[in-house]
Parts: sequence; C-alpha cells; structure tokens
Amino acid sequence: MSTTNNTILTPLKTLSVKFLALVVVLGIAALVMLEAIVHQLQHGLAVTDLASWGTQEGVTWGIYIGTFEWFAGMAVGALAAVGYIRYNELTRYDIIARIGELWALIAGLSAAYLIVIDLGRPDRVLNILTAWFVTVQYSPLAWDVTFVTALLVMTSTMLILSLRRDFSEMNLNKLPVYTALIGELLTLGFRPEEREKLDSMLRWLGLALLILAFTGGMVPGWLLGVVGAQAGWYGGIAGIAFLSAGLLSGVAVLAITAGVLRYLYGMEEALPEEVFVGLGKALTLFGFVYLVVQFNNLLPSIFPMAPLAESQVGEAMLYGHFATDFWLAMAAVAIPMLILVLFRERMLAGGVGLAVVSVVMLWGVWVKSQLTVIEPLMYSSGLPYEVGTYVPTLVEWVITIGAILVAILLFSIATKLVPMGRLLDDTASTEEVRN
Amino acid sequence: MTTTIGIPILLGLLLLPIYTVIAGFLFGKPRDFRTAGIGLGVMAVMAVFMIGSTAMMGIAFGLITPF
Repeated sequence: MSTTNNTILTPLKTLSVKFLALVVVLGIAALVMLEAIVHQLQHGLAVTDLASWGTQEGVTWGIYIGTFEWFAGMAVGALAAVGYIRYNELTRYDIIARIGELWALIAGLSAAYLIVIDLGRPDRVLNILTAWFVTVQYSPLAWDVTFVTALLVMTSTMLILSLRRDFSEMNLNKLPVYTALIGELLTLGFRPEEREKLDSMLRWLGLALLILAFTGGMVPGWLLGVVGAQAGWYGGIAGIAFLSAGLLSGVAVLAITAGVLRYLYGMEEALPEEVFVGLGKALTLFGFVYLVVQFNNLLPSIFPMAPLAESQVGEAMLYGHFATDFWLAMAAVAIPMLILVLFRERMLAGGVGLAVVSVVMLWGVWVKSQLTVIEPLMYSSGLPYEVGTYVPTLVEWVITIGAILVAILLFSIATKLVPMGRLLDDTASTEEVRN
Repeated sequence: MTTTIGIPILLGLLLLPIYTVIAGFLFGKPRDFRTAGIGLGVMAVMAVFMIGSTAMMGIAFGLITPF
C-alpha cells in the first residue's frame, strides 16, 4: 500500500472553464436531441426512413438498432474488462476498472434507451414487461431485455460496492461536499472488519461479470443470428461476432478515456505506462480476433456454393453498394491493429497515441455494426422484391449522435462526482479517521 | 421446440452470474452474512429500481402521448 496515486482525486478537485464549456456544449446537444425525440413522438416513426421490408422496399431496423448493437457491445466489453480486473485483483488497473464500471453502466443505459426510441411508441415498453413471462420462453428479444437488465443491475452493484470500499479508505472531509455526501451515503453502517469481505465480494462479482459477458453477452448477436428467413443474419457465428465486436469497442472506450484523463489531469502516477501497454495488448488481440471472426462470417456468403440471397448480401458488402463503408470499417480496425503491433511501446508512452487509434477502431466497429444490421434487410430472401433503400433522416442522425454525446456528458459529469479509483497511499491515516 | 428453449437459456445461462454472486457472497471466505446481505440487498434494490423505473417511464410516456 505504499504506491502513490494521489492524482486519482485530481478530476474531483478541479473544475476548469474548459470542462464547463464542454458540459455546456454537450448539454446543448442533449437539448437538440430532446427536441428530435419530441418531434418523433408527435409524428411517429414516419419521421425516420424506416419502412417495411419487401413491398415498401425499406428496412425495418436502422441506425437506432445498429447503434444499440454498438453500445450493447461496448457495455459487454467494458464489463468483461471490469470483471477481469476485479477478479484478478489487478491493483495497477484499478482506475481502468472504475472507468469500465461507469462506461458499462452508461453504455448499457444508452443501448436500452435506443431500443425504447426504436419502439416509436415508448409506452409500449410496458408490453415488453407484462408479456415477459410468456415471451422469455421463446423470444431472443425477451432474452435480450433480460440480459441488458442483468447487465445494468450487476454493473451498478459492482460500482456501488467498489465505491463503498474506496470511500471507506478516504478522508471524506478532504473531498468536495457533493462527493463527500455520496461517500457518506455509500458507507452507511460501514465497519472496518467489513473490508476483507468486501474485497472477496468484489472478486465474486468480477467472476460473475466475466460469466455474464461471455454467456449473456452473445444474446444481442442472436437477435440477428436466429432469423432463418433473413440472409446475411442467419448463422451460428452471430453471437460470437457480436461478442468480438463488443470486446474490441469496450476496451477501446476504456483506452480512450484513460488516455484523455491522463492527458488532461496529468495522472501519470495513477495511470502508468504499463497500464497503456496492457490495454494496447488487449486491443491488438481483440482487433485480430474481430477481423478473423468477420472473415469467417463473410466467407460462406461469397463462396460459389452460397444461396442466391446470401451471395447478394455478401457481394454488396465486399464489392458492391456498401463496399466503401465495409472496407473503410475493416481498415479502421486493421490499420490501428498493425500500428499497435509495430510501434506499441513508442506510441503508448503518453496514452494519447493509444487513445487516437482507439477512436479509429471504435468508429470502424460502429460502421460495421450499422452494416451488419441494415444491409441484409435490403435484400429480400427468395422473394421478387427490388433491393431496398435506407437513408437515415435528420431526426435519426440527431437522436443517434445525441445518444453518443449524452453518454460522453454523463461520463464527464461522473468524473466530478466519484473518485476514479482507490486511494492507495492514504490508507493508514484514513483508517484512523474512519475508526 | 422453440417454446422449450427459452427456459433452459434463462435458468441455465442468463441467470448463471446471479447464482455465482449469491453463492459467492454467502459462502465465500471470509464468512460474513451481514456484509453479504448488504451486497445482495444492493443488487435487489438495483433490480427493483431498473425494472420499476422502466415501467414508470412507460406509464409516463403513455400519459403524454395523445394516441
């Protein structure tokens, strides 16, 4: 416990003009998004370019669901990282675990929010709840609702219990008053002899999060994979494809956040280079796995023995209408991965380089998530329909980009409310205070 | 067949992490049922909060949407 990481509290104790400006800009974006939501509520999903498959030559799911898949994957990847760190008690990565807890929660909420938006009539969420006992017996959508709920419950439990432990080791009087109030609330009834048990419980929760990530974490992929009538979706690899994208985007968002925090707050002690080397290795591995899975996913559709509808979907992706988007997305993962392989130690020195390549990878996964959901819907399987079209409307763009900006806003605010990790050097003195 | 696959997936796969947490909190060492109870209580409260807030949101949207 002699490691110094006092800088972990720096985000809590500083409030710069730049930060306030960021909050204002993101707040305005949130208001614009709210206006778009009201507009959609007033006029229904007619304000989107979503339409029936087939005779209307449209797609039924668009960038709301594509971005849902991206956020849900990000939540899965972030909670897998949290689970791994907490289960193995990797003290050096403690701050990454806190960042991951916050991101898993925020990304999970954003995913759930986009599903509600896509309902058109959000009051129908009550139907999902009341019909759950029946639909869970056969519907992957009901399994997905169950998974996202479990993800939110377990992630928030991990956040609360780890904060209970971290706050118990801090002198709350030295913290801003609002943080101290949260600390008082979360350490209600805390006894010093509780700490050893809390450590053990965080390990068990970490194991449970890992299990959740690698079992339930495949469910959003099954939403597509079980649809036998839809070429481009159906297949046994959909769950794994979703999981591989999630692990990559989850770790990428942690790397971006860690890089930005280190750069903005000079957190060299709390976020040493070895942490970025570890994150870089994880990104390299997950980037490689992602590309291998994508290759496996696409190969059967472009092989000469593929059914007609399958080959139409595959060819449009590789050589046709969507080739530019597809290859850009693949390059956005492959090139950063190669850069990480070749220049890892040098570029990771400050964390900024890793943050930049992570942004590119995250964008690549986002684009491919859209293609995975939307593109197959344009090709009718075995029916004499024209190829469908889909161009997201302004409302769809505002709500989708707004969801991403609101997620960033929520995380930014969270950095000012809760400590980013465990204070390691102050333990002895604060134990006296708490006792 | 489709109506039988959901229950094994729910009980055998989706709830596996919950079983892990309950067993780990209660029987993991050191044994401390008070702290374990606090942890399980937090999880139960968060479950009620997540499902309850979703239901409340549905009801609220039902009231403000005029159709």
